Amino acid sequence: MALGVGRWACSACKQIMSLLFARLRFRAIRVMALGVFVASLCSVFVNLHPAHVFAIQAEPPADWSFYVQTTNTTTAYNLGKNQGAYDASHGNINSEVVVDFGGQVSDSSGAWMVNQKGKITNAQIEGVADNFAMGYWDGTGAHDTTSVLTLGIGTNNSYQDVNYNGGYQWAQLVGTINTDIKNSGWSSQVTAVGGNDIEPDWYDAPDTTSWAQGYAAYGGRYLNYGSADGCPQTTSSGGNCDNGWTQHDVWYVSWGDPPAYPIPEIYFTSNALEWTMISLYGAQVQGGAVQMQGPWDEYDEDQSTLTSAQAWTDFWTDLNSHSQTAQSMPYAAEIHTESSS
Amino acid sequence: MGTQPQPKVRFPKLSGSSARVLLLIAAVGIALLTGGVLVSRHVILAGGAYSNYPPAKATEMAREQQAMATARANSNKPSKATEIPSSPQPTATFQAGIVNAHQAPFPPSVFFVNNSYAGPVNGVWEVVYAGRVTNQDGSAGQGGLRIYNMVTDTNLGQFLAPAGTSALTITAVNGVVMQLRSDSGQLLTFNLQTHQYGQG
Repeated sequence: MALGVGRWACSACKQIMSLLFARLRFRAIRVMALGVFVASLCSVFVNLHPAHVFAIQAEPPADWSFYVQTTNTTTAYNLGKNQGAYDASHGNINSEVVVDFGGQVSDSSGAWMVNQKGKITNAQIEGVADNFAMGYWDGTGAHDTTSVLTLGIGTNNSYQDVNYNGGYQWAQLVGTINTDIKNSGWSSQVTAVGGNDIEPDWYDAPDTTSWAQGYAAYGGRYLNYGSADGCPQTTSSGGNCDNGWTQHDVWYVSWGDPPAYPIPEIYFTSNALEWTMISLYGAQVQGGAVQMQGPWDEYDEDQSTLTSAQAWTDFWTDLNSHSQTAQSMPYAAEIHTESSS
Repeated sequence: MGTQPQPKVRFPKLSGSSARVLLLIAAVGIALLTGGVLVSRHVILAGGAYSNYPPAKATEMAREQQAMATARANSNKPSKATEIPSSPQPTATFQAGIVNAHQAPFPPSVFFVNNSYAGPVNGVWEVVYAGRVTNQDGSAGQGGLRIYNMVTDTNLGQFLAPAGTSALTITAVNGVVMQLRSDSGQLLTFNLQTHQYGQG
């Protein structure tokens, strides 16, 4: 009797175990199949909206650019040395800095410094830039031989000489500074490029475009650290901006012109949208998205504007919300006034 | 009263068409997942190099990097670079007067500058920017002045002209009284000591 009960119990046990294993196997495979299917759907979603799935690119250190306020070369040397020491002490990183000398004067002999600090001649601009470069070279020290400073020699389109000759002359000045850098032995770590704070509200598009073409005629490259005043924030078909400019005009002086590389002002959330649409205009109409150097903020000048971190997040997120403009950016910049920094 | 029959436990067998369908779903999923990841990485990585640059820009960047590499190969960096003595520096001097330039240490999307004036007020050098504020929607706002300390580069304030006044331009400065004209032709004065507007 006991044996019969035992056999019956064993048989029942086997049946139960068989049922359980079969059910578990079925469920496991079903769950696995569903999991893979969901993952595949997610991957499709990633392609359409990469920014929503991938973590935002970490912001590089925001390099300090300056409104030059004095012809004093020692000040420039010290600022360059600070940047060099910073780059060397943070893992031999690269940096991109603009020294802004203000609007060019009419005879191309120099610029009128921001904040009404008077005229600075081309020779003085050369002296300030050379000393900034030398300071960087010294600041990186003996052991850092790989950090690289891209030094923008900046002007703007607010004053005089916004024309073909002005662009050509500015490129020539940048060329002279690069010759100084090379002859001084600093060119393994410093390269000078042009810079222009191009703002549609300040000057008309045809003359500013001529400046860009004049720069191209001499050669080299320049950074446009300007604005896209009044440009569309949601469309990218070449629409109108302020002062008679169009998205095409902003695109041209920022990217379409061979020497142009943009590191645009992102002072407000709307600026990130405007520049994303400029990039999208490039992608959809001109055959390639505008590749940004990074955002340029002015929080140090005006605390009501975006911080460096906010500018980065806004700009990166907007750019990467469109598959055609998705990109990473190498730099972040913040403008400071030389004497108050 | 007989006992109600227990419902028979049912579960599908993993053989035949069901298994094949599940395997097919899994295979398609894996293929999509692999493809998706590859494409996504391409999207992210492509932005980090010069592969998305037009040929002229990519060539210029390559030329620049090559020149730098050559310089690095030939560089023998001393423990401290030899400093080139700077040329004698002129003493910084401010120049008083009106400058017809739009440039300022703030963007035109916040305050559009028509022109500016620099000069001492009670022994302190100030720069006064004349123009108008820019509204949130980008349209031209009320006329006004922004004043900065030229030595410390600090903002001393924004002084809006009476309501309805359009963008201002500085036409003359007599002592501490600034003569102003709005875009619509209205004439005003501004006292640089009291920061008060008056009729021109």
